Amino acid sequence: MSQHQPSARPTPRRAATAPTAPGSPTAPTTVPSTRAVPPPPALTSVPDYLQQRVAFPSRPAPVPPRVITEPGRTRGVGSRLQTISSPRLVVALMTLCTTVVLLFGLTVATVLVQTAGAMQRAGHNAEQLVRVQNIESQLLRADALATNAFLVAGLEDAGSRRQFDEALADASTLLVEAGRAQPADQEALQVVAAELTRYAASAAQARANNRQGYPVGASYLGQASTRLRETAVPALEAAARANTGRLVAEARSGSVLLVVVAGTSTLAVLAVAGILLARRFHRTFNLGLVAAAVLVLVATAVAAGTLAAVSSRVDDLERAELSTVRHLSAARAGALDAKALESLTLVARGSGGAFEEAWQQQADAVADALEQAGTPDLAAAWQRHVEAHAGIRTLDDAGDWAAAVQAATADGPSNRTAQEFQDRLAPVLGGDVVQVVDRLGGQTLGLVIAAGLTGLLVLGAGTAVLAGLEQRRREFL
Amino acid sequence: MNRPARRRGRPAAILLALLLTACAPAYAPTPVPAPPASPTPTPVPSTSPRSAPDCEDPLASYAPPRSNPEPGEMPAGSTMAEIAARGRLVAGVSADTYLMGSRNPTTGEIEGFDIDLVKAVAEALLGEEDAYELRVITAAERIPVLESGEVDLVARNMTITCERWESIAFSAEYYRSGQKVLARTSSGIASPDDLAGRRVCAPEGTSSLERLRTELPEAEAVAAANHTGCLILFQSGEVDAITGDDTVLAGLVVQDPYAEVLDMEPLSAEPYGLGFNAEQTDLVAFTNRVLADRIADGSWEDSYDRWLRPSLGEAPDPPDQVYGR
Repeated sequence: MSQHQPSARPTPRRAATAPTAPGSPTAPTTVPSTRAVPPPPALTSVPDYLQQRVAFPSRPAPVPPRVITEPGRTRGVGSRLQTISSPRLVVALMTLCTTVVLLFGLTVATVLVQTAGAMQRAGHNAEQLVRVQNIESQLLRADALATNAFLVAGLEDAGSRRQFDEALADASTLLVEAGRAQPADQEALQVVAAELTRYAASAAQARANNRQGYPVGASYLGQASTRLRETAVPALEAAARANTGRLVAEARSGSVLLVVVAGTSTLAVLAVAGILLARRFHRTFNLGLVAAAVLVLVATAVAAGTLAAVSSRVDDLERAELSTVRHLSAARAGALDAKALESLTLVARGSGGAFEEAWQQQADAVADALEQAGTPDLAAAWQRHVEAHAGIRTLDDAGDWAAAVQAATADGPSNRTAQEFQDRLAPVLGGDVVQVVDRLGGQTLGLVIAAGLTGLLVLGAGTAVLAGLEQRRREFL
Repeated sequence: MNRPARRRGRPAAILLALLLTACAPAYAPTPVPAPPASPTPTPVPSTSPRSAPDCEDPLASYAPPRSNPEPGEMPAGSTMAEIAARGRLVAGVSADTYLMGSRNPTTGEIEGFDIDLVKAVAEALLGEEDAYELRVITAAERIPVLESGEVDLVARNMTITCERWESIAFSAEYYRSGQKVLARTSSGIASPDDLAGRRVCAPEGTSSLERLRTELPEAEAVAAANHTGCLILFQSGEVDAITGDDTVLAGLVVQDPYAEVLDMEPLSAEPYGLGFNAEQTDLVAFTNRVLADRIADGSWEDSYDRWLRPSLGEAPDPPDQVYGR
């Protein structure tokens, strides 16, 4: 390449004083071709004295077009590039190209790193979602145990009392964890925490009164159950909705478009730089710029490909495991709520129509959620519980309240099938939760690697730009 | 060559560090759902007291036969025969009115002065006193369940009034109660006059609530689902007093040692009757025979002694049985 350089060398000097035969604005495109063909010694070979003798130049002196901006002042118009000297052009292109390549690198790295962060946060949101749904389940479990124990005459069974205490303790531990994990949930969780305290107090009061044989105990429990469903459960469901929304928003935040736009713009800038160089130096390609363009292209492909892959994996996750987690959690809470409602139907003794209606709704919701989750095993287990419940209703409707209570409490078919359902559901749900969190977190690694790789490629591109242009610049030293 | 590379590295490193450390976005706080209208029953706006319809004598019920048919021999086509065919008497009762009808947490059975009447009717009709099914209803549900025929009778400390006679039928009077007021001991409430500006609770859909509004208009009336609901409000300090029949208040006082019934003239006389569907007058007459027999053979007084005597003292004379409808 370098052997042709001399031809270009004088040009800048002349360009500084008399800007330009070549860049005559009227026929810019023809100039490079005409200048490329004729022998090098064109103008410079004419001695100065010869030029001075020309009385009437064949062409008007090449004065760049100017406009009068105000009296006595003019301003040049037309492309500045044509008036700029070659070394300055090279330096300007060097700065422009490296800056653009760097900006591209920064943009892509930012998008990738931010997407990695978003995946991590999506994972955290998934954990929070599970936590919040777990709190709801524990509260409803406690209430199901309390209402069920109330149905049994006499003192409640020590085992169910212990389970009740455990459920409330679990709920309060989870509340503290959840509040710490997501500050945005704190306000909603405070409502739940306040209600949990009130519920525990009411349950204790209910027990104390029950022990003395006072019917006001039952009223305390009934009121506590109602409040729990009117206050704590809606707040927890709002938190679950909010966390699902956050999860989805984070998981979808990676922007392939931004990367592609950044890549294309960078390539465009490199191309323009290449064209300018080619015009000025009669070179078709500057190897450095070409190499840089290839590297930028690869970096764009790597980044966009990684983001697209992540997005498709997140879509899969959302369609499969995440949706299963949501549905199974809903089914779990619904089943526990249904159990409490069944007890309340019997407590109301023949006037539990409203509770039974609520039970039906809840049972349908559970069956629906299980169908959506695509878990026929669990659906079958739930169906067994529904049948047990139907048996209880038959007994109660036939007037045999005592037998209905027996079937609904202790080791009766209702409690047995409900427990079996929960036992089967727990491992499936747990497994899916682990998968969701792992998969979301797993995307982080790929994104960080892609970010590093893009960084290296961009570094290479920058170096190539500098190397390619440095070659031109050096010719003027 | 080196310079640009270094220049390039520094901001990128800083930016990366910033991205990784300070990128936790502040999410919009989770919206907290509005709490249910109000956890405690709100004061019911006092309606203009309706002029109670007049009837000649609300206490007059359907005259009973001289003797009831034996169990298993109910006249064909009668309401009693229908019940006998079903095999059990269905009664609407309270499960939380201590002493009158409440669930005993130890045995799980619903028991009380009202329940004794259900047993007596079941025994007379079906030959065994356990041949009954109880439906727990609120005070406000008493008339609807009778009108719809869900229950055969309502034994839930129900006051006989002319207004109610328009939609249902009553047995003869089985107890004469009176509306009084319960307040906290040493609360400064000693007479109904002290209730001005205080919050007083009564169950929804009861004559107690209506009487509270007409007799004590200066008091702020608060409605709850039932008397135990009132007791919860009372114990949590949300109301200052509870008004209701002395029988009901006696049951509440037993459950709360810090409550006492004011020493006062009853605001009203509350004659209790069993409620029936207005069409089933044969069952009303049948039941009136049972009630009269219970007074005659001393079962009425036994039942009173068992449930109410510890709180209300010696048994009064049983109410006169008035017929003529």
